[in-house]
Amino acid sequence: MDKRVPKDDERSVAFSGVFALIDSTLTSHYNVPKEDAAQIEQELFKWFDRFSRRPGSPQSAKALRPHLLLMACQAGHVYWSGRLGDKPAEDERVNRNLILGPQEIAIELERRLEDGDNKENA
Amino acid sequence: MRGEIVRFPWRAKALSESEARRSAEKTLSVSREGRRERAIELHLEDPELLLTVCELLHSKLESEPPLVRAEAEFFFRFLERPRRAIGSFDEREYYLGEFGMLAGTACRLLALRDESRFWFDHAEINFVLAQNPSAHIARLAYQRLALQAEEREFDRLLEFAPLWSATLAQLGLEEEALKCGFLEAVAFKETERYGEAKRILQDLIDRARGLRNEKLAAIASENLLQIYAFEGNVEAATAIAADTVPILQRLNNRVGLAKLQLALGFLLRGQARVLDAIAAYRAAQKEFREIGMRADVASTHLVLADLLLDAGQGPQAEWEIRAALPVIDELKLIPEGIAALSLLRESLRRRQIDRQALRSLNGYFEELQT
Repeated sequence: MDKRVPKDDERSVAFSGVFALIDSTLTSHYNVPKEDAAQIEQELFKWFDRFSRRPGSPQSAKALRPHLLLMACQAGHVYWSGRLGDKPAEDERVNRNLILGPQEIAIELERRLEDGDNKENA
Repeated sequence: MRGEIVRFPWRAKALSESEARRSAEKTLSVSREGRRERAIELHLEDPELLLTVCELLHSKLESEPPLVRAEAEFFFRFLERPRRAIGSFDEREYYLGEFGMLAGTACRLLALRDESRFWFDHAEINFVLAQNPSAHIARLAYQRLALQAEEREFDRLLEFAPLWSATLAQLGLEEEALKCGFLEAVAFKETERYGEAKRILQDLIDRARGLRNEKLAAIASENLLQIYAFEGNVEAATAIAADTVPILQRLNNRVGLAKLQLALGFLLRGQARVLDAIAAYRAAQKEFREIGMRADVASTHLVLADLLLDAGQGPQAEWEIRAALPVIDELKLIPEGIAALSLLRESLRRRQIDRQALRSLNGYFEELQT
């Protein structure tokens, strides 16, 4: 097993960097009610802590970030898929995101973060 | 965007690493027969515990492969049926994949090759459903390449090991990338392209040390030692042994220590120190036996038989061969081995030792020592 698991700091940096984005992904992009979103976030935190210690997981905060984003989008997607079944969502934005799928949305969000990183570094 | 470090909110509730380790060790000390009934008490469905169990089993692969095989199979079957909700999101699939890969890796070390493939297939089916599947499939690809090395498919290995090495490096899996390079070196070594093998192994040792990966550096060193032993370069081989033995001992890498002992036997034999060589081979064989590596025990019997024939001890050599045959037969290692075996059986039936047949089989086993 690869012992070079990310240190707590790397996990925390990865998490703090996208904390607000995960919250807005769930509450805005997927329109998950605040209470349910908070519960999903807790699950995401716990999952991500273990994910980052798996052999094969990336070592740096930057490389860990897309995995956390993707799982957040998948969580939002599954939340509505379970509730809506085959019916479309009433919220247009949610509908669009469900049609595009979590992978696509996660890529969009990651690009947005990368643009932010680039601006900070400029 | 918040800039501060956010504390993990579940940390207070979750087990610390040492608590999880203690809990996992306790679980592994409970007999597997009675473990399912105590699943709740032992927290067998707790993802934190499962992560620690995986880590513990990984650390025991090179010292107790039969235990790892049994435990990985137990946990795989436990998670598989009845279907259990493990942790969050992809965790059930990830752990099924990880335990499947552990079971397959242990079987590979024990020369149970069909079983190894069986478990790798199980691992793959689950890893594709887990997060970050490309990394896990690539880790699995390394295990499959290692199996090819043991089955002496060197042409395939030389084709695919460098390709996988590049892919793994691209995925950020430096250790696995280096290990693929190591398999390429093994293929060169086994096809007697010693110069290429030495160049790659030396490069690997340097890079593994750069990554502070003592284990990989030691395994590469042990293979480099084998080549120096075959070449009769006593000085270089002795220097490597002096450096490597303490590291393998500290890591409790019994597989590596046994193989190193075997390489020392070849070195001593090359110096015509027959008794010392026999002692080194016996020490290697004892170690292989203790860690359940039966194929390697059998191969060492044949190495000893060849040496004893050289020393004019025919009856003793025959005893060694006969001791090896049941395992060779049972494990059905590869077609060349079976063909050579039938020749040897015939020579034994006639109460003659066909030295050529023995050498052919012996050479095959020597090449398996990777």
